[in-house]
Amino acid sequence: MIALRNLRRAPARTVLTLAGIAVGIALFVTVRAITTDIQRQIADAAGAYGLELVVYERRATSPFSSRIAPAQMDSLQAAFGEALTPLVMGTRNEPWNAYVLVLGVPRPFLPTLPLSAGATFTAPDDELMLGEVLAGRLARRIGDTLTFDGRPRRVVGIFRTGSRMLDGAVLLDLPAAQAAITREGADPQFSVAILRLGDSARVRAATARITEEFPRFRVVPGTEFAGAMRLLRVVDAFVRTLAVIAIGATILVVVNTLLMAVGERTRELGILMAIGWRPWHVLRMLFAESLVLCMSGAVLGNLAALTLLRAVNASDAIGVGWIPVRYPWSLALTSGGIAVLVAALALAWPAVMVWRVQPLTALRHE
Amino acid sequence: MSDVARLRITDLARFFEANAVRALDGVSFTAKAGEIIALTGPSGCGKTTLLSLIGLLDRPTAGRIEVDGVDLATVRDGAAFRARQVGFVFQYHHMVPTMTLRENVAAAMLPLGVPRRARLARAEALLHEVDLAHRATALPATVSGGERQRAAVARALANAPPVLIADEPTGNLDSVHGARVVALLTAAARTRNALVLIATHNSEVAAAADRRIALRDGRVVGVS
Repeated sequence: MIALRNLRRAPARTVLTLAGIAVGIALFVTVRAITTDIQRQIADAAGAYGLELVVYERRATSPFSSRIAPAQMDSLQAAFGEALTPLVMGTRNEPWNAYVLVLGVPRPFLPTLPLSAGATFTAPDDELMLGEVLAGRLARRIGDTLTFDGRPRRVVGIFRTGSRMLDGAVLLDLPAAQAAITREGADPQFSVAILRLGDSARVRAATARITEEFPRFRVVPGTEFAGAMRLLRVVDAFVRTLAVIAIGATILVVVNTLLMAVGERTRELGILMAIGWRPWHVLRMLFAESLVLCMSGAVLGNLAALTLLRAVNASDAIGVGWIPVRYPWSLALTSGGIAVLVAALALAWPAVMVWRVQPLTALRHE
Repeated sequence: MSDVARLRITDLARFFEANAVRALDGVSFTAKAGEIIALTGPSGCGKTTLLSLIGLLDRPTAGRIEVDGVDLATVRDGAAFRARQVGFVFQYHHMVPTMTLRENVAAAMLPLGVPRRARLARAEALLHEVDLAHRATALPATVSGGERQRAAVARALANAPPVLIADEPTGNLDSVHGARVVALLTAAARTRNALVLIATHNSEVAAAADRRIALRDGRVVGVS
């Protein structure tokens, strides 16, 4: 109560400080939610299908930029046989969505897809399958038509993998997907190859063999695929930097507020020290105010992040299923912890000032 | 009133500005528990400086102050000394504006580690003693000057200190409210056996004291 009364003394300053904290926390939660969720979606997608290994171009920054020529894929296929499945992954800009995720899989792979409606292809050039999230967003059902890559195609199946990223994708037959994402005049290529081997000894052997015999490729466990993607590593580093900057700026905002509070209340601090309070008693009082500010800011920041995530998710420019719809409660807890940390760290400079307060001088302070 | 010296001051001096300003110079006196002593004299004569030294808000340039036989020069923890041994009543009440009267009184008990509930209960009891129980949850800005000063007396009594220091406690009060504050300080001396030191310009307040020590230019010029 005392902390709240103290904060109410300068309402404009308190509101501005809260806004500063909320912006910092919202920024942290939003960017962290997006990157961790994308990584998790990729890992989930790989894990859901028991993909022990993913093979992709060594120099590629992501599976979308990985290019494996048909001759190279033939070599891999010859080495690993049916355990290897070539995949095409890419994005397209369509009038109904600016960032459509396109997947191309060979026909033998199709029976492993859990369908929630319809069936697999019978006339691949004129048909497509939609992930459940995308179908819901576009309000398309079995038998409806969707124009894709310049031609109307019939929706024959709707699949649900559990990965929002994959469930926001268009699934085509392999050649159709290659045609859709290959630039005009270029040779059709594959994106990645996945390996399902069954036991860990074979996985180790396959990893060693690819590393030795196919130096142009990188092989990573399916569950680590997201972490191995250079683009995601770069994004992750950027996000961490951004988070540190956001938290640093938030600390400065709170420090400024607490310093002003100490300056304005010097005489009160003198009174309290005259009746026997030690500096750490005063700091405890200031910490309560700092904590109220930071925790309130964290709550507002999380609400803002939630709103922002929903808004971004509703935006077609980002791509269906890429951005988390669900609120990451673990991040709410993390941001709460950060708020406590900010509240404590922001007290460092004011603490120095409080330790320098001489009760007699402070009592005369106007 | 006890015959044992609660306060013994010997050749006390406090100089400022490279000894150019002699706020106190060669002050000596003793005071007993339960005694009320009025420090009188014109503004700038050294009354507040003397009280600050006795309350360990400041350190002397020379001389010695003993409270219950303890030389204050040997006291390293001034905050603990102030919390246990001294109760302050200032001229301008000096209450924390964002704490209620009860919280202000309870704040004095925080350094002694008294649990919150016990602090608030004792604060209620003390406010009852100074006839302010009905204003316990009021903020200082919402009560009269006299009520604020009575609350300040309650706060000064919170830890039952052996020494009460009151610096112009009636300076901003009318005669009725001033008399009530003096009555409370007198009661503290008589019933709690506290030594009460009052710096005052008010002759009626001085008359209520057991002894009057007159200061001028930092020196004792009369005791009556």
